[in-house]
Amino acid sequence: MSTQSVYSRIIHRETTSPRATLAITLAIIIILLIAYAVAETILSLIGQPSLLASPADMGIALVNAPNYLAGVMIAVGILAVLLGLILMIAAVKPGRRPRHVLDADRVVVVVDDEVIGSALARHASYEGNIDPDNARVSVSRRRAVVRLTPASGTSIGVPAVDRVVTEQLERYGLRPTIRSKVVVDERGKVGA
Amino acid sequence: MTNTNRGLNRLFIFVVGLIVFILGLAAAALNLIPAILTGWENTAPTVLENINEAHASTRLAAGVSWITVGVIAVLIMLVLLLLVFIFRQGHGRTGRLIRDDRTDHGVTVIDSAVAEEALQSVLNGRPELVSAHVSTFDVKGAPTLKVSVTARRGVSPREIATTVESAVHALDAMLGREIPTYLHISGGFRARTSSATRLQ
Repeated sequence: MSTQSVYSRIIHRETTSPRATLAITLAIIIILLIAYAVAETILSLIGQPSLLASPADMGIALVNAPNYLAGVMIAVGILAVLLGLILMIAAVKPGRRPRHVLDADRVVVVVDDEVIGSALARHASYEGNIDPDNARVSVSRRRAVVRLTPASGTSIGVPAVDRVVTEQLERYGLRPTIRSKVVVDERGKVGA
Repeated sequence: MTNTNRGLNRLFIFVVGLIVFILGLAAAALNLIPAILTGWENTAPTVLENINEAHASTRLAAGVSWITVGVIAVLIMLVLLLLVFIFRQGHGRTGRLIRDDRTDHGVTVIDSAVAEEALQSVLNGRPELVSAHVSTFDVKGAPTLKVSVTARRGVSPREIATTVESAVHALDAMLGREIPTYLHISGGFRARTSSATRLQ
């Protein structure tokens, strides 16, 4: 097995979600529902009082449901339609995680977008001469937006910050590539 | 890195979604469309009667219908299948890094723990990392090292990649061959609450 095919499999599996949490949650809910159904059936078999309703009562209630539960059934039905749609969409979507691949020679590297953001924030705040807490970076798949809040009465050289951020992004060598944008808040903050 | 069957997860979520969707649609349509309601009122009682009759005509010695027994058996099987499905998630770790039987004198086996501990002891001392953890997974039959590190706030991911690559190069030299290696750099809660990096 070539290393290349191992690496491409890892990259695919690590940048997309396995949907394990959703699948396990659904499976547990179904198991609980089945356990309840089995419990009711066995209770009615051995002639014990039911937990909520015996299977026979449930059958009768289901047949007559439209007579006295119309409003509830419509509401629950619409909710179920929406829930079903959401689940089907979640199953079909690619399920990308907020991560980027970083080019490297020997190892295959995947970085959380959060790490890229905090590194850009540190470099931007250093260049803009402000506290790192006043630089906020949001990283999406192809874009990074750097927002800086200047100290009142001072100005921030946007071209310089922009150059530093772009240079950093080039050094990281991310896939897919990220374009950056630097925004400076109109209003400064005392002591920023 | 794990060998979770992702296609199966998707299929399972989709099928559950489809069932919920159809039941919801049926419940709403039954009360909104008069024609369907009439149809339900005409057939549902008969269906229930038939089910009750089927139960009555299939009673076993103990007075229990074998349909009931069968339904319970099918439900329990379904629960077992779902449990298998849950516990199949997230496997694929391996304890064997290298098995070399090309020599005339015998077999060389190297456990994953050798590489894991070697890398971890190098990385745990690094100031730019909050934590480092190394594990070994089987990817398409090839033992593959997974290095997960939590970066301190503000550290450049390029620097971390360079640090880890040099550690892996040292490991290559020690083992005499290159083990496929995956590095995951995460931020996460511990990075946010730990102190920020000093200027480098």
